[in-house]
Amino acid sequence: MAFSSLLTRRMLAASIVAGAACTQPLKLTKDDSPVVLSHQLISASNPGEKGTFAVKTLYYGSGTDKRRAIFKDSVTIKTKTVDASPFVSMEPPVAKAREKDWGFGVSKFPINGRVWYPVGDGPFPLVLIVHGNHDPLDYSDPGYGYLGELLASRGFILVSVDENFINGGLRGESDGRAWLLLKHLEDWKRWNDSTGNPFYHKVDMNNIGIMGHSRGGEAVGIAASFNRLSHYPDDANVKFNFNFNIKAVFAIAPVDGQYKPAGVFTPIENVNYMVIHGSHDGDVSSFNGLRTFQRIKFTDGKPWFKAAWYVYRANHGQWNTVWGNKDNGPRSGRYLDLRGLITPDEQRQFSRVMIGAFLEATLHGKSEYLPIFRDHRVAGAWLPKTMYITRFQEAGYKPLATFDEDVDVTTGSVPGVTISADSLSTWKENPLVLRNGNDPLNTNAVTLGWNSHIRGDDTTKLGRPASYTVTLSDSLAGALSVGHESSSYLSLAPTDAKPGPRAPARDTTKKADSTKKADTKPPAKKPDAKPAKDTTPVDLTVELVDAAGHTARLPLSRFGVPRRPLEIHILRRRDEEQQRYPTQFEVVLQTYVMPVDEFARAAPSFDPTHLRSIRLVFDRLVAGTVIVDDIGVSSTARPFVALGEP
Amino acid sequence: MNAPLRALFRASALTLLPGLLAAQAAGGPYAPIVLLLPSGPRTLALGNTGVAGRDDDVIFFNPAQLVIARGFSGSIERYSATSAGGALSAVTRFNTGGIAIGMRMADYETPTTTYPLTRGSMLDPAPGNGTSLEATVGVGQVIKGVRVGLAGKYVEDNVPAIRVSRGAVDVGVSKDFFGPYTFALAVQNIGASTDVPCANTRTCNTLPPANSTMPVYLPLRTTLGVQTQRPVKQIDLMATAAVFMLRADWVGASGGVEAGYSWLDGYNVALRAGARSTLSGEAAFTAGAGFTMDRLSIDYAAEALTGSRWGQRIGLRVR
Repeated sequence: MAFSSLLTRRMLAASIVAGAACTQPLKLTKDDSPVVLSHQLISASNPGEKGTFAVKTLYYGSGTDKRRAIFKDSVTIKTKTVDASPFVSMEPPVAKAREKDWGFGVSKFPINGRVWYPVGDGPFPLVLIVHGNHDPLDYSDPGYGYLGELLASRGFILVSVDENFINGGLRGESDGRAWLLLKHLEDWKRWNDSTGNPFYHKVDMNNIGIMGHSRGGEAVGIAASFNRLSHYPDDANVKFNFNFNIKAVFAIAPVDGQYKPAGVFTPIENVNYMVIHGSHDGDVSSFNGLRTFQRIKFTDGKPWFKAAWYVYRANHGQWNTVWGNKDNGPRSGRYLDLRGLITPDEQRQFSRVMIGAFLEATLHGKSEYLPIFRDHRVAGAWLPKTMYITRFQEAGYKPLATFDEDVDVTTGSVPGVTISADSLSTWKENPLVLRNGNDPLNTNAVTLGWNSHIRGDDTTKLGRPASYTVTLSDSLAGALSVGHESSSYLSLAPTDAKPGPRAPARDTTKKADSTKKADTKPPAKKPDAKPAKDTTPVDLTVELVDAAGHTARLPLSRFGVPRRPLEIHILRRRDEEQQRYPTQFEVVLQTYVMPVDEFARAAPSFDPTHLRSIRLVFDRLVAGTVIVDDIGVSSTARPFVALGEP
Repeated sequence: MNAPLRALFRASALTLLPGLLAAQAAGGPYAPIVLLLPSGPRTLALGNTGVAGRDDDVIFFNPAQLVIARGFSGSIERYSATSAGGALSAVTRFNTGGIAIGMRMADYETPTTTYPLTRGSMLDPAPGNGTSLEATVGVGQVIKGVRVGLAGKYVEDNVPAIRVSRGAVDVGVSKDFFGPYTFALAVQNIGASTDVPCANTRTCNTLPPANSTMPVYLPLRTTLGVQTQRPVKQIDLMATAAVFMLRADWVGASGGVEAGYSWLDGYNVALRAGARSTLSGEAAFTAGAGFTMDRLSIDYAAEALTGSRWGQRIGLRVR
């Protein structure tokens, strides 16, 4: 036995050593939030704090639920079941097993919801939130109670929709999740019109919001799309007649493309849309919602906006109090590195603030909250202290260069736009992809790299700063009606790539000597084993040029934080992390909305009404690379930029 | 006790009880001895119960399970100061299942005039040297949702003055039922008996004087077993049980449980314990432990033998 105990001791020691060798140390990008979030320009009440309404709760449902006592014995309003069989399919044995487990099949899905509502006459905007896929028996719907308490106190009716019975090993059922949401809205419309119902005339059916998490996050986009369709795209025999006034769609760490109507990503139009995603999401580990953000279109001339926020160190589950921090089930702590996560309270404080602000702005019409969507630095006191990268666009945005339309790098996205560059080491247009490498964002961007150093012995010698210029023709400038109220847009993300020094300009005064040996390269220096990571802050100058050639210049950092990629390590094991993800960061571009008026104040001779060029001048960092997309202008961004920058 | 545990114990008890109740003294004589020996540290620690196993050494228990087994492994065991053995096996994907090879051998000391030895008698010092060898090729495929396997083997005993060799066949079936339960049935060592000349073995002395040879049987073994595994909080629990019959002579049972814990993806430690109906030379209890680093596992097992002796087996497994 001595042998076996010795062996056991040795095995334990070996396991500790081996485990330690494979576990990577905690790596996080240095937090700049003490500086970035040091201002609070919005003076309105914190949307993450409770409002003045007293809050009540109730349940509605089938009243016959076998598993959920609250939807059996505690329902205030009984609902009829719905037949979801056109939208949710499963193998017969699975269907049979599920029917046995739940007491109902796909043809009798219940309409179950838990409601937090304000005490008052109303009418109050109605907001539905739906969970995503999770252990069906670890019921997800109670996990948004913290939002229910908040939003009801601020004058919203919040319903957390029960779709646990659709959870588990199903695939391609997101349309079913979406359709169920719309069936809930049908019931709400009926209750609002029915005397005697507790919600009679208390629901503002003209201001509806839908929110979803994970697969529910995709479902709300699909619901927004289905809401305006007359037929189910996968089976036109199924007719739709919803047409609800859904004005706000909020997606929390959504998936995207698990359901594709007619084989395309679900088109979404003419809603206010916001998506949030945690960098340390251990379930949906790429920012899929960015693709949804990219494709949302505003076509009806109404003042919609869309925003996408990337929250550093947030995960997938902490937005829901039931799901917690282990994004892939109770045992996922074995492989998910949980050390870098912000606390559940911080993560939920973020969702309180942003969901509160989004719904106040879109359903209560409180425009004082709009500036936070354009530049989060205006609400530093409300936001948890972590780093955020934010995308934004409002309906008035007119694209100049989105790099999607052709392969000519010198043309823009609309006729009349020309693009030129000077002294760039890298200038190429290529598609953006999500972190997992093979998932395209379905949008192109331009990559611009520069190095002002001149190759040679003199390492202090710098050349002219590189630049990239988007020029508008006279007719286009006139058509865009750029003025003092306008803003210029661009979205940008620095990368860690650093081009080598540029070649010296050719001396044209010297005659070439054909007998002379061609320029011999200096002996290559042996590169360092691993060059230290460049942590110099990235910045550049934005120049606006008017028709008379007057130039106004401001640093990009005035309008937002240009950050190097935020380092992400989701998995505990370094080798698995490297195997699964080609990069240890997600390319998320930061949107900068730059009021042209501020340029005019910086250079009074500059006339914004005759804007001709937007130029990026790479003069604030000797060498670097940035990815740029969505250069444009807008004349309707004023409510978002009204507070200026901190 | 929670529901998964209850189910696990119920399944184990249902499988084990008939065998334990019916256990009798073993018949025989059986040869080659290698067919009566354990073949892998993990299965040994589980009471030498492997008929529904999923490791590559399942080739020595049930070829049907080759459908889901993968990897290769090697192990050695010290039975006593004078006897030792080892096993090698490997499975790879083939068609709808797997194909495998396996080898086992044992080296021991033997009296010059006794054949065949039992597990008990092979533990003792003796003047002669004996070796026993098995070489197996097996294949498992899925047919109409059932895993079906066939293995052909060459076995040999080589002791002073006697060399016995034979071909034999194993067949097996297995299927998952009721969720995580794997049920398996195997019939092993199907082959003809061998007549050993009485001149070379004292055992013949017990036979009528007219006999000049003695029949030695392949240990035809029929095993019905079940294995299940499920997580219980942070522990991976696995249980297996089997009843088996040696020819028509002897019915026994075996079973074991394994509790595994992983603190980091790919790393796992496991503790195992098992019990078995005993053949000559064996005691009932077995135990062991394993450590897994990604695809590599190191397993250790100890089996109680008669005379307060312990056989100790250690092995490496690569998945």
